[in-house]
Amino acid sequence: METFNRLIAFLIACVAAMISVIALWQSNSAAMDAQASRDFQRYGLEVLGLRVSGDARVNFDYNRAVSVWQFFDLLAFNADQDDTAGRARYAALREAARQNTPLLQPPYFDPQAQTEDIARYEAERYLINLARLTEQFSAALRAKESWSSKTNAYAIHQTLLSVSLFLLGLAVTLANRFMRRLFAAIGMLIALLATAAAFSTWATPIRDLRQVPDAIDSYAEGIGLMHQSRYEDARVAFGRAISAAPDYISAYIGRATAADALDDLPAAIADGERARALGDTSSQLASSLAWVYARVYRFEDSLRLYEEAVRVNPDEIWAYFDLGLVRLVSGAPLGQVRAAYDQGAALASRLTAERRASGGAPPSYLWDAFDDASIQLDRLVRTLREDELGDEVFPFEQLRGLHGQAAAVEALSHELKSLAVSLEYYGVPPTALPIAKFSPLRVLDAEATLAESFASDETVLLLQTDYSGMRDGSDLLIKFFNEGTEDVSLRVFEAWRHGESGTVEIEVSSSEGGAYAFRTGLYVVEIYVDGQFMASGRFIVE
Amino acid sequence: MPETIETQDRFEVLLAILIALATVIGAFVAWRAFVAGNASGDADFMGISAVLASEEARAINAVNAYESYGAYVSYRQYRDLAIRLQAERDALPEDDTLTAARLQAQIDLALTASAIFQQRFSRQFVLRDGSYNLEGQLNTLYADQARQRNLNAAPSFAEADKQRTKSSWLQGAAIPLAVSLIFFTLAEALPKRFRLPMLIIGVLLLVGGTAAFLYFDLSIV
Repeated sequence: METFNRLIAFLIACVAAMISVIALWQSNSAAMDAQASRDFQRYGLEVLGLRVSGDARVNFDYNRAVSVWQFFDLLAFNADQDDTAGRARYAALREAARQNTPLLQPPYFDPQAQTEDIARYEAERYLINLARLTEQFSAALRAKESWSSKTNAYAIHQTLLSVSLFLLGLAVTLANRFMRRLFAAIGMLIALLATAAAFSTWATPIRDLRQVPDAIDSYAEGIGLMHQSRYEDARVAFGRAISAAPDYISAYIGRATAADALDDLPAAIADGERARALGDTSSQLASSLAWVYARVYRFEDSLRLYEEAVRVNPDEIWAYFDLGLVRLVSGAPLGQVRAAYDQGAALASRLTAERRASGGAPPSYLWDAFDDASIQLDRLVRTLREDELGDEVFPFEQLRGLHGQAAAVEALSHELKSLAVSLEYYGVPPTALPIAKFSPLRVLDAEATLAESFASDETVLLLQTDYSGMRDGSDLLIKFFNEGTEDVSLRVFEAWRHGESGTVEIEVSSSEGGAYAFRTGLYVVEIYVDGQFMASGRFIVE
Repeated sequence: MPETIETQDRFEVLLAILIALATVIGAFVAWRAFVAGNASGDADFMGISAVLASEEARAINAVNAYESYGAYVSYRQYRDLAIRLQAERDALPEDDTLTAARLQAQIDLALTASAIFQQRFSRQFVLRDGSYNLEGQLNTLYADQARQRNLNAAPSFAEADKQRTKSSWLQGAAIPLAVSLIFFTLAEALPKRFRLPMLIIGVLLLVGGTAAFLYFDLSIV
C-alpha cells in the first residue's frame, strides 16, 4: 500500500513535470503563432500601402509626365515644314520633358524608337515588391495557421495529462485494490499517450516559405516578367522558385500560366495538376485548368474540373457558361448543355434580384460573363457555318457532333443575349417571346453606300434593317462589340419611333459629335427591342 | 529510536515545505510568464497600429505629392514654352510685327496656363535648379504625420519580441521547479540511503530554477 502510494506520488510528479515541459512548448508555439499573426497583418497593410503609392507613382509617370512629353512630341511633329524655329522649340521642350520621369529615361525609354517600356517600369517600380509582399503575407498566414494548430494540440495534450493526474490521484484514495490498480493503469496509459503525442507534435517541423532562400524572390521576379509578357524568362524564374521549394503552389500556378501563354499546353496541365495535388482546391485553378484541357480536346478532364469548380464556388457564373460550352463542343446532349447555361442564368437572375432588393446595381461582371458566353457561342456558330471568322480553339473538324446544329447553338446564344439585356435594364428575365422581326443589319457609310469595311477616319455609319411587328415607344438598344469587347461609348438606348414596319436607317456616330474615330478591328452590332435580341450585323474598321 | 522518528518527522516537514515552496514559486513564475506574454501581445498591437498609420500616411502622401508634382510638371510645361516663345519673339526683327503678335498670343496663353498650375503645388519643394524635390515633399509630409501619430512600428515589434522571449525563458525556468517536485517525491518514497541525494538534487533544481526565474525576470524588462 505504502509502496503503491509512493509510486503514484512519483508518477504524479513526473506528469506535473511533463505538463510544465509541454507548457513551455505551448508557450513557444503560441509566441511563434503571435509573431506570424503580426507579420501577416503587417504584410497585408504594406501590400495595400505599396499598391496605392505604386499606382499613384505610375499613374503620374504615364498620365502626366509622358503626356507632357507626347504633347511636345506631337507639336514638333505637326510643326510646319518651314517652321524650323517651331520644330526646334518643341523638340527641345520635348527633350526637357523627359527629365520629369525615369520612365522617359533608359533603361525604360528607347531613344531610337521613342517608346517607353511601361510594363518593365511598373514591374521594377513596385509590382515585383508587391508580389513579394503578397507571398510573404500568404506564407505568414500559413505559418500562423500551423503554429496555431500546434498550440491547440499542446492544449489537448495538457488536458489529457491533467486527466491522468486526476486518475492517478483517485487511485490513491480508492479502497478497492483492483480499482486502484485499474485507475493507476489507465492514468499511466493516458499520460504515456499524451506525452508521446506531445513529443510527436514538438518534432513536427513548421514550414515557413519565408525562410526558404530564393523561393519568394524568384516567384516575385517571375510575376514581374509575366507582367512584361516575357513568358519564357518568367517560366525560368518560376522554375527556380520551384527548385527552392518543391511544394510551392503559387510557383507551379505561375509556371502553368507562363506555359499557357507560350502555348505549351501539356506543360501548363502538368504544373496545374501539380498545384492541385499540393492542395490548391480553388475554383479559379480548377476552371483555368479545365479550359486548358478543353483546348487539347481532353473534354472528360475539362468537364470534371468545371463541375468541381462550380461545386467549390457555386457563384462562379463563368464556370457554368464554360461548362456549357465544353459540354457543347464535346458532343454532350443539348439538354445537358442547356442545364449548365440555365444554372448560370438562374444565378445571374438571383444575384440581380438580390442587388436590386438591397437598392444596389447588379455587379457588372455578370454582363461581361454573358458577353463572353454569347461571343463564344457566336464563334462556334461561325465555325459550324464554315465562316472565315470562326473559332480558332475548336475548329470545324473537332465539332463533328455539332454539324448541322448551328441554328440551335445560335438560338442559345440569342437567349443568353436577351437574358443579359433584360436583367440589366429591367431586372427580370424576358417573359414573352418576341413579336417583332428584324432582318440582319446592313451597315452603310455616311453617303448611304453599303459596305463591309470602313476607313478608321469614318465617324458616322448608318445601320439599315427591315422590320415588322414593332410599336412606337418600345425600348431600342444597340450594342457594339469591337474585337469581342463591348464599346459602351457607342451604345444606343432610345424609344422606337419608326412605326410598325418598314426599313429604318439608324445613324451612329463614333462618339458624341463624331470627334473621335472608330477603333480598328471587327465590329459586331446587335439590336434589341424591349430586352429581346432581334438582329446583328458586322463590319470591319481598317 | 525516538530520535530517529523525530529526524524522520523533521525530514518530512522539510520535504513538505520544499514541495510547497516549489509549487508557490512555480505558480509565481507562471504568472510572470503570463504577464510577459500579455505585454508582448499589447506591443504587437501597438506595432500593427503604427504600421496601419504609417501605410495610410505613405499612401495619402504619395497621392498628394504626385498630384502636386503633376501640377508642377504642367506648370513647367507651359512656363518653359512661354520662355522659349519669348526668346524667339525677342529675336525677331522689329518690323516683323505679324509674327511678333502671333508669338505674343501664344506666350500669353502659355503664361496663363502656367499661372493656373502654379497655384496647385507648393514652391517649398522647387529647388534652385528648377527641379522638383519630390522625395523631399514625401519625407516632409511623412515627418508631419509622424509628429501627430506613432508611425514607427519597429520599437513596438522589438518590445513584443523581447517580451515573448522573456515569457519563453520564464516558462523554461518553471521546468526545473517542476522537476524538483519529482526529486522531492522520490526523497520521500525511496529507501533511506537515497533520500539525501534526492533531496539535494531537488534543492539544487529548486534553487537553480528560482535563480533562472529571477535572472530572466529582472534582466529582461
